[in-house]
This record gives sequence, structure tokens and C-alpha cells, in this order.
Amino acid sequence: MALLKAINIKKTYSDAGNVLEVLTGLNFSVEKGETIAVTGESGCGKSTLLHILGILDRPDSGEIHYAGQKIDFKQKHIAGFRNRTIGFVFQFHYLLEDFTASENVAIPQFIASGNWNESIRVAKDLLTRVDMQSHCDKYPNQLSGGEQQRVAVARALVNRPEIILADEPTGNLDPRHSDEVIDLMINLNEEVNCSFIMVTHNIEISARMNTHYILENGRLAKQG
Amino acid sequence: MPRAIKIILFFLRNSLRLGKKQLKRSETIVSYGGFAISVAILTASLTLLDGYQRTLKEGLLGVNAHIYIYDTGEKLSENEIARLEGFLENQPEVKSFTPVMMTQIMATGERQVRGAIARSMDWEHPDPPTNYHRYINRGTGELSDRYDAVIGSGLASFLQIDVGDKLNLISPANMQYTIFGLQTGTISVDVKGIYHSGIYDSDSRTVFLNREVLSTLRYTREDTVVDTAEVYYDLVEVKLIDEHVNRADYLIYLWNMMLDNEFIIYSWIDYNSNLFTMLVVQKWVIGIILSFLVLIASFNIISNTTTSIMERKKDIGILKATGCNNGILKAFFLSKTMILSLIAILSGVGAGLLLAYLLTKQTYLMLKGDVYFIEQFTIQPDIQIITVTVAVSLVIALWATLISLRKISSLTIVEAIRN
Repeated sequence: MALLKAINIKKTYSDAGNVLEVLTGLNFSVEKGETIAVTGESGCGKSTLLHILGILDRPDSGEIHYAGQKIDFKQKHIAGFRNRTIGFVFQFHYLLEDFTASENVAIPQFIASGNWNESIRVAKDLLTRVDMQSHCDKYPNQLSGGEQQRVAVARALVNRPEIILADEPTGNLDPRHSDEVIDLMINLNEEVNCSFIMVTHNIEISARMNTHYILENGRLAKQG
Repeated sequence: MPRAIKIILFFLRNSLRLGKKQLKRSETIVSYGGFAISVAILTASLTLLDGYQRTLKEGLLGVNAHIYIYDTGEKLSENEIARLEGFLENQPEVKSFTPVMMTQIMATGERQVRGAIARSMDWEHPDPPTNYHRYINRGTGELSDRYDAVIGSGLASFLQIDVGDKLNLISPANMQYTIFGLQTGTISVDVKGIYHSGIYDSDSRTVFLNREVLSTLRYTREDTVVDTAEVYYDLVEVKLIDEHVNRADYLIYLWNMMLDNEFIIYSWIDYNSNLFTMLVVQKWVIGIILSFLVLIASFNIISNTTTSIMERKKDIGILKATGCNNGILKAFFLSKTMILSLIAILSGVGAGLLLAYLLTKQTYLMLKGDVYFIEQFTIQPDIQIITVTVAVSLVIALWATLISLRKISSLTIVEAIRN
């Protein structure tokens, strides 16, 4: 059974009377432990796809299934489901500026469990695994770009999600830090067997994933 | 403790950590400062009005009797007085009673003349219904000599008379026709004491005399010699035990039946009920009107909270993306805003009470005694007034906050993160 399944997803945007069809009946599935790269031209709807798969946004029509269960976007506990099941890594780190690195990582766990001490312990363990143990008490503005993204990766993993969605996670990084982050994510995939869907412009990165899709004309086409 | 509460408290603690920086922001100070000022005005107004109402009631009831018994004709004879005394001694609600003589007079000083009421006073009575003894502030209340008098501070001030001075009293009843025309009789009395009850009417127009002197003022010279004439009284004044004061109107209904309606009986409620009803209505109407001032000030809270939410739009988006639901986010902002509002409200109440207190101590703005019965602002902080003020202000602050919180629900994650 596929971990994640998208069936006939459609999404349009309206702008000053003009209707832009971004996704036009997209079908897609992800198996457990699979790593997927999604590439495409700028503005083709890659981020929109990721937001819909991550239940951050609603499709105009179509269905999303997680582990065989259809997702109801109006469901009251959708936030809790997202907290437990899905991890996000955005292009910009989107860390909370008023919290330290360890607090940023701990917060999703704390939202799930309500136990702050345990959440901080788990967070610090994860930061050690991403080689950030000496930066636990630093604030985001005290970290480099690569370090911030490492913290964001650790935050995405803190609840042991089944799937991590990464929207151009290396888009703002230099080549050295990009490689570090991609290596980290691939190693973690091998360690914890969570699925990755990564949106990227980088052909080299997409080549390192199990599967490569191109988003064209609102639909995904498998490459290779 | 429920998980949601723990999460909210966590974010509140974090807010406190940043609190000093946030509180110093001028927008926060202006928003909540304005709210506090409106609460202060509401508190001061209600406290002053309530103080006026209570002081007036205490003054009127302290100086005056609670029940007044008159004859259906002209005056009460000694037989009627005796009958009433026998009746009143057997009423458990009665604290004290005394027959009273009264007459209208002209009181004259060196250069001033004023109309006044002369009343008899049995100064040896341990607790007369009209107890001016409590309010003596100069001299003594003892009318030990026949021609002693005690007057109110307002009258003394007007006539420029002090303790030890002579006061001339002219009565229209004590007149004689002479070849020179109608000649009034004048009695000169010694001012033994001056009292200040705070009630303008009493302080400005009452002269207390011994019964014998008052009798002289009441009779014309053609009458039988005063000392041998039968003594008539104008009324019997009754003072009630404190717990029965507010039942005075019911008591006079009972007493009328028990006395076969042979007397005319009034209570303090008959004389003053319209006044006190008007004061209560006035107090709460002004309170409602000033609550609108608090409502308008609450728009600052709406503005401040909405701005705070929009400034943290990105953080809200991230928290929603990582699984924080709208309920927790709203509860966090609600808690933060209500804490600030409560601080503003309590500060406003404190400032309002201080303002009211300072008004009572100043002498620049005074009440007109002949219009308002008392001349000085007074306050008697009442827990009910403070509770109502705090409750109304909290409700208004809550309403303002809930309006702002709708923004959190309408904020989509994608919109928040992208912007």
C-alpha cells in the first residue's frame, strides 16, 4: 500500500479575473522509504504541489490519501495529523527567531506530547545527530545558513514523521552547505526509513533521489 | 494539566521573556494606557456619585429623624403626646423618640439677616432622633441656660457669628400692635455651640433652643402667659433601630392602623425617596454612558492585537505548519491580551480611586449646597462598584480581543509563510 497517494489533484489561482490552472488532474504516489525529486520550470506549481501534499493548502478538487485513509481537509484534528505524520523543510529555514535552536526543534514535539522536558531532550539528541550539538542554545540569527537549515531538518524529524517534504531546501545555500544538507537528509532516510519528497532545481541533487519527476502542464511525468 | 494549557503557558512565558521589549513599545503603551484612562474615568465617576448618594443618605438620616408624627389638626396636645409616648415605648423597632416644637424665625447678626427654623431640643436626652450632638465642632451642645442656642455652621458663617456671640431671633408670631405700627418681638440668645452635619439645609437654617424660649417665640403677646399656658408640640420625631430604617414606610402603615389613623405619620422615605431613586438612576445611567467611553478605548486593543498578529504572521504560519491548531494560537493571543487588559483595568481602577480621593481633598471645585444638599465631594469606595467596573471593562476587552482573533483563523499557512 502506498504511504501517500494523490488522486486527480486540481488547483487554480485567480488573479485580476485571470484564471491560472496550476495542477490539472495530477496523480502521484509515494512508497515508504522512497526518495523523490520533483523538478520543473519556475512557477510551474512545484511548491503548490508540496503544500497540497503536506496538507498546508487545499486542492480545488481531488483526493489525498495517507496510509490508505482519505484526508478530510475540514477535519478538526488536521493540525494534529500534520504534526505527527509530516515534516517540512522550507527553502528559507523559517525558524522562530525568538526561540533557540533546541527550542525550535522541540516545539513540534511539545505540541504533540505536552512534555517540555522530554521534547527538549529529544531535540538535543537530534541536533547532535545533525552535528549541531554545540549550537543548541543559539538563536537563528546567530547561525549560518547551513546551520539554520540543519536545525530546520532536525525540526522536521523530531516527531519521527513518515514523510518529509522539502521545498528547495538548498535554494539559499552555497554548494558546500547544500551538499552537507543533502547528505544529511539522505543519511537520515537510510537511518529512519522516512520518505522524502524534495522539490529542487538542482539536477545533481535530483539524481541522488530514488525517483525523479518533472512537473509539466500541471501533471507529473516520471523520468528515467 | 491539559496539553493545550501547557502549550499556551509555554508561549506566555516566552512572551514575558520578551515582555519588557514589547511593553516599551509606544503603540502598546498608548493602546492600553488609553484603555486604563477610560476605566479610571468610569471608576472615579461611579465612586463619586456613589459616595455622594451614601453621604447624603447618611447625613440626612444622621441629622434627621426617621419617622414624623403630626396631629391631624394643628398641634399635638400633652394628652396626645402622652398617648404617643406610651405607644412608641412598646414598639421594638423604635430606638428613641421626642416631642418637638418648631417655628419660623428671622436670625440676625450684626449686619446680616436670614430666615431660619427654630427647633426645641431636649439636650439631656441620651439619644434624640435629631442628634446634632455628634456634629458639634465648636463649643458645646448643652443648652444648660434658658437662653442658650446651638446653630449650624452655615448660618454662623453667614451671620458672622461665633461661639459666645449674641444671636437675635425675631418671630412673626411674637408681635404686638403699637402706636408705631406692628412691632416684632426679639429674643436674644447666647450661641453655645456650632455644629456641622454636612447637610446644607440643616447647617444653614436651623437654630436649636430650649423649649421654654421656643414657646416664647411661638406665642403672641396677647396670649396667656407662657409659663402657665398648656404646651403644644408640632410633632413627635422617632428614631428607628438601624436594621429597621429601610422599613420605615411599612412601619408607618402598621402604626396608622394601630393608632386608628388619628395622626398623620410620615417617614424619611416619603420625604426623600424620589431624591434617592433619582440618584441611583443617575449613577447607573452615567455609568452606562461612560462604559461607552471604555468601549471606544477598546478599539485600541483591537488595533494593537491585530497589529501584533500581523507582525507575527510568519511565526503563526510556521506554528500552524508544524501542527499547532488555531485554538491554541487564539488562546495564546487571548491570554496575552487579557493579561495586559487586566493590568490596564486594575491600573485604571486604582487611578480612578486616587482621582476621586484627590477631588474630595481639594477645595477649588465645590458643590453648591443649596442645590446638592452637601458641599464637599465625598467617596466611600464600594466593592460592588469596583467589581462592576472591572467586570464590564473585562467583558469589553474580551469582546475587542475576540474580534481581533478572527484574523488567526483567516490566516492561511501558505499566505503566512510566503509573505
